[in-house]
Amino acid sequence: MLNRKRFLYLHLTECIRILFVCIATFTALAGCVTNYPKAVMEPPWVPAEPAGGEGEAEGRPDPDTQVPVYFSSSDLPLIDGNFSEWGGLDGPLTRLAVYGGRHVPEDAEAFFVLRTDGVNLYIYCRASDDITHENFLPGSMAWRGDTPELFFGTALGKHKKYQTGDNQIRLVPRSKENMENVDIVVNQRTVDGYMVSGQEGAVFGAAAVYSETGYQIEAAIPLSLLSIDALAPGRKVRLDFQINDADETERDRMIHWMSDKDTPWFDPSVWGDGIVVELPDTRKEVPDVL
Amino acid sequence: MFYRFRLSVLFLIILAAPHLSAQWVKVTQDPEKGWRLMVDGKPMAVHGVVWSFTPIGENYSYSLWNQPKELIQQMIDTDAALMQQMGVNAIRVFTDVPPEWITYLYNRYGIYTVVNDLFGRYGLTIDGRWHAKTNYADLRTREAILESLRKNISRYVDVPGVLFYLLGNENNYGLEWDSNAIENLPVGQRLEVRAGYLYSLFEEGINIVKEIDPTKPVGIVNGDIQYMNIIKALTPSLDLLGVNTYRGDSAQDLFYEGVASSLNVPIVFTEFGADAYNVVEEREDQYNQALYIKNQWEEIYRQSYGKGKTGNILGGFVFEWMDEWWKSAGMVLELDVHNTDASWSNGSYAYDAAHGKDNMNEEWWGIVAQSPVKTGGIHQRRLRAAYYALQKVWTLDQYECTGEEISAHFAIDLRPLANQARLNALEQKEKEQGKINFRGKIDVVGVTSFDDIDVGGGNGFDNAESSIGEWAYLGFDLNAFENVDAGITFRLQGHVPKTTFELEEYSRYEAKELATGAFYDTSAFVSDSTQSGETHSSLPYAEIYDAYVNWQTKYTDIDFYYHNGHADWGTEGDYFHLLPESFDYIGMDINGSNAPFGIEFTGKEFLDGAKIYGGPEIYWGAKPQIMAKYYKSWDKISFALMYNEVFSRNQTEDGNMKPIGHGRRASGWANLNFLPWISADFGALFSGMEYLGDSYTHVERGANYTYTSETRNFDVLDTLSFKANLKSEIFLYTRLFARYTYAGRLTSTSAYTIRDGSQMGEIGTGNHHDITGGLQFQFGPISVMPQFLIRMPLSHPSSLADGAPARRALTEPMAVFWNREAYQAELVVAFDPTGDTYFFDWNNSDRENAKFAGYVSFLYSFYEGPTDIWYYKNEFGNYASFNSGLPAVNGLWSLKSRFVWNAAPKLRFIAGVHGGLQQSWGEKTRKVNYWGGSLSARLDKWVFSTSVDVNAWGKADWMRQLNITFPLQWTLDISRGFDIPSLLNSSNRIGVRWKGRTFDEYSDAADFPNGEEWRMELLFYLSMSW
Repeated sequence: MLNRKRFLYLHLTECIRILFVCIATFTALAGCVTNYPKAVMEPPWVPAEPAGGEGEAEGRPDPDTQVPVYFSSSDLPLIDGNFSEWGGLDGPLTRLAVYGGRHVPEDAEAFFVLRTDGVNLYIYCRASDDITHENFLPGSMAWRGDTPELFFGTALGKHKKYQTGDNQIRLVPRSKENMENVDIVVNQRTVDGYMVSGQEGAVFGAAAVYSETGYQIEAAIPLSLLSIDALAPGRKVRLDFQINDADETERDRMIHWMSDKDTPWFDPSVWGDGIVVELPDTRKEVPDVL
Repeated sequence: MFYRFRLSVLFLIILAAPHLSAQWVKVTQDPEKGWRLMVDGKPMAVHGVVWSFTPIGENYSYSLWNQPKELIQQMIDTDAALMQQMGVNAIRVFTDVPPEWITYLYNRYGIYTVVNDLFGRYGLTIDGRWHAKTNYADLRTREAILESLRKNISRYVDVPGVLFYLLGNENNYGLEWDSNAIENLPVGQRLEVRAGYLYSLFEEGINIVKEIDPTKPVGIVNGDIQYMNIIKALTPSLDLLGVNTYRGDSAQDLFYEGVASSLNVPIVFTEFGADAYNVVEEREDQYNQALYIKNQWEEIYRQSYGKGKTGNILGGFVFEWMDEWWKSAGMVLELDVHNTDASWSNGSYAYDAAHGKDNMNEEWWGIVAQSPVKTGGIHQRRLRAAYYALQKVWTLDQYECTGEEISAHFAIDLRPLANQARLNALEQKEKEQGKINFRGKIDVVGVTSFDDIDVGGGNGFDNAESSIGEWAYLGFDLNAFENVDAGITFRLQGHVPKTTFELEEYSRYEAKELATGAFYDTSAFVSDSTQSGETHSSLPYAEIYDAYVNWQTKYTDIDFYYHNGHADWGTEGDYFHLLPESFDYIGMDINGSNAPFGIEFTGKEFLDGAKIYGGPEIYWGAKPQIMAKYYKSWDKISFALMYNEVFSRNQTEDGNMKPIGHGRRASGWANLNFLPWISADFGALFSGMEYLGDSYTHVERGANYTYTSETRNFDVLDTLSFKANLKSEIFLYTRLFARYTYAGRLTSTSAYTIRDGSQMGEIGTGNHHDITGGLQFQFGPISVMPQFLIRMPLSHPSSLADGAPARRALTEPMAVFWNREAYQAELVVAFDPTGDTYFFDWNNSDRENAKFAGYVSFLYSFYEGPTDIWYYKNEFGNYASFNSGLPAVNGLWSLKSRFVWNAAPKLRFIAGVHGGLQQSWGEKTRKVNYWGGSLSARLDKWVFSTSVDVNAWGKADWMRQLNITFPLQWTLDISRGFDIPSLLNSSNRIGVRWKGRTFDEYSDAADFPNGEEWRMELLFYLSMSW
């Protein structure tokens, strides 16, 4: 029988010797190559600093923020271009510039409020925009012009592709003259009202009103169109908000509520959280624009 | 006569003159009417296609320009003739196109070429290091891109047929590099700042190109019209703006107005079009593809010169000429499958936009489809409705027509065109498939053997004998349904040739065991007068050789497999390798097995990630079983769960089956990438609970290497295995890796398939723990990988403890063999300059496109411990145990290498050298010191190959099990293919092979005691398939 200890010792020594040769080979090869020190040029383009622009730190909400979706069976908003029903309710503010430089509130910022009666989703958006254009682009492409967008889903588990109940909703104001000329685009397709006609309790429609400082839109969409069965207090949802702003030709600025990348349209995992709550009896002071 | 000749020559010169010199191309603007492209002073609207030519079965690594000249010309002639008939006047290709083919295309077909430099779009190698994300802020990167550009463009100066130059390919979508300077910026500014670096470099590049060739305009290829303001500020030398855009059937007025208001240059659509697959209706949709492309062109006409609008578009390149079958399945798998899965959604293509469904089918963008059927080595083209639509569209002069003429011209009724295209499709399908497609293959081999064995002694041909063998394969593919593919192959056996080289020739010619079903029952079908005295057997028979069914339903793909290959699930979370791959060796059936034999369900939609696979033999040697897996992956985390139920565990009931695996297994795996530069894998396996409580002999090492044994019962820990891998690229050029495995005594699975040139793979057996570590140094094409392994069994071999009963792997659930105590060190050095043809891919011998590539691996092993008693398959097809195990052994080594040299477009060499000092895989204690080498050369359709092995085992595994070696073995083979022959097998060619071996006392102790004999064979073979 061999002296096992010595046997093992010799072999380990041999192993170490081989490893040493390997490492020495590696070191020699590494030493032979020429490394170029990193040298980075100064940026040839820096977006102009807008007056009054806010920084990113102020732009993104706390990730634990829960957007309220107000539930009530009565006192529901009418889609008529009168936005008083939305007064005094809380909602998210898009302040995270994803594209187009810093966030400038007066240039592109949107305040949203969501309500539901368990059958419909009611959406209100007040968009600040110093240069407004009517949007003539087809619904699937309307994001290239002035439009607010809402991403809304009921699938809570983390997922990176849209599932049933996940929705991209785009409200496209078409006319400064005709407030009813607003397209509702759900999941890239412009929705016609006749699709929900006859459905009990279903309300479908939108209205937009322009002003000196931007525009306001309200819309109602039956939950059935969104593949959502019902919404009731306590139910958690996932959502994000986006405002597309085109000051010259096509979109030159995109501002989000939660996601810092242009991915909410295909990746629900970057959305934030929301919860359905009872409509409060008392409301805050109505914002001055209303 | 003389004058007539001179006039003729003059006439020819005049005719040829425009084609013999480069053109002067420029863009011009009429303040009223807009922009036009002028070639030698004449207006030309760009009616182009992005020329795609990748054949079925190839992927992005395919280079047409590395093919033989005849094939290149044939490819161009095939496509350019169709393009010419269609009205194409320009194609867009990248800067690997050789100038002579641009001129050929122009001279013969009048088609111009737009040469496109990628400008670092998909990463680049700088000073030997590959950068997947191009950092346009880095000065060295910028320098390298411009150096490359200068070199590329210089090739095309004065080349007739070049229309203009383009830089990049939507590089604005790839601005992804990270740096502190960028990260410190507000989110909304980061992309724009990165874009600034890109467009300033474009400006430098444009000026370089103009300096090299001032006769052509220079443009960039932008992703849509993003960053117009930055282009305006930083790229003033731009002549034209190339735009890749996917806006459905209309880009909208705003698009043209946006460019016009920002840039004073014309537009060329460098990519646009529509795909021909409808995901909603799950069918080819030629009508809508044609409709969208027609509408896109109507808009181009209306927006071009002289129509009263912006007048700023010159034309475009339809994306794309022909379907490319490689763009799904990770771009490396299913290359011969026309996948219908879409990769992203775009609501602007309303005909198949649906909620929650991607609708952009990357493998279906061709206006021409390709067929699996080839003519003259080129896949047949099938014209789609869009082809005919464009043929009509382009007959109208784009610059000189009026709005009314456009309205009238574009009122094209697409229905007859779609019908024509549909007829094409049907005709093509009938041609390539019909409802039943027939295929076949015939192999014939004639063998003449000579030997100098026993009879007469001395030198000379003491015995000479000839025989012939024939095999025919008849296959049928059923194509009667849109969502079901099925096929079956029958094999007909004529004569079986006599061979004197055990099973090697049978294996090579894909013969399986004959009627006896024995694996190597030589008496049944090998005639060897010196051994058995029997005459050659001829046993005609027919059998089902392979079969498949692929049934695609809404939520699952259902696949039936019978002897047609199945990949392992290693990349989908099978961390413990419960399912090994089951492909036959190339040109060889594995031991007569029909594996894989089973049905697999692959989930889709909400079932995505789920798979169930079960059957009588789902991989080679498997018992009847079923496996289920769920795999999910996100950016930074992936996980998988697996469950495996084996329905037979009693080895004595199925003696022909290899006794691996236990009754029930489950595993879990997770991969985490939360920390920068570090990737971690963790997994656990539960296996073999059927043996819980059974007794076994445990052998333990004590002080001073003394061993004691005791009887124990299997407990829960014996059913568990744990494994962890850590990888880090924290150091420049270096990947560090380490792995620890604790494998309980009952947790044997399968050995891993090694795919990196290493000889030290995971063994997959239980009863051990091991640690592996090392690093891979990667500098450009050079890879140096030292690594080590230390492995220790949990229970040592029984032979080490006095009085312990012998442990036999065949009859006990736990043993020591591959998992023996070991200390190993290895160095793998590889040179692989072309990452797109990975050197260790199974088919690299046919695919490698580097001028030179190669690797060397050296493994040094100390087997500190002996083994238990292993088993083998005997001549009756049953497993049997050896009488003893292997002893401990030290100082074993093994050298492997392989080199590929593409000396010329038609000339490829592949060589390898190997050697070592190794043990048998059975019970014989004699160590074998062997070496050998091989060389193959392919010149056009000729293949020459040779190999020499000195003092090596025979090729069959059982020869190593029995430790049978030969002083010298050799082969010499010359063949000529009917097409370009593969270097992976011997199919589709006619050839002659000479092989032989000499014998000594270790060659076969029973029959060759004298040690001075030899045996040779001369084989003629013919293999044809269609």
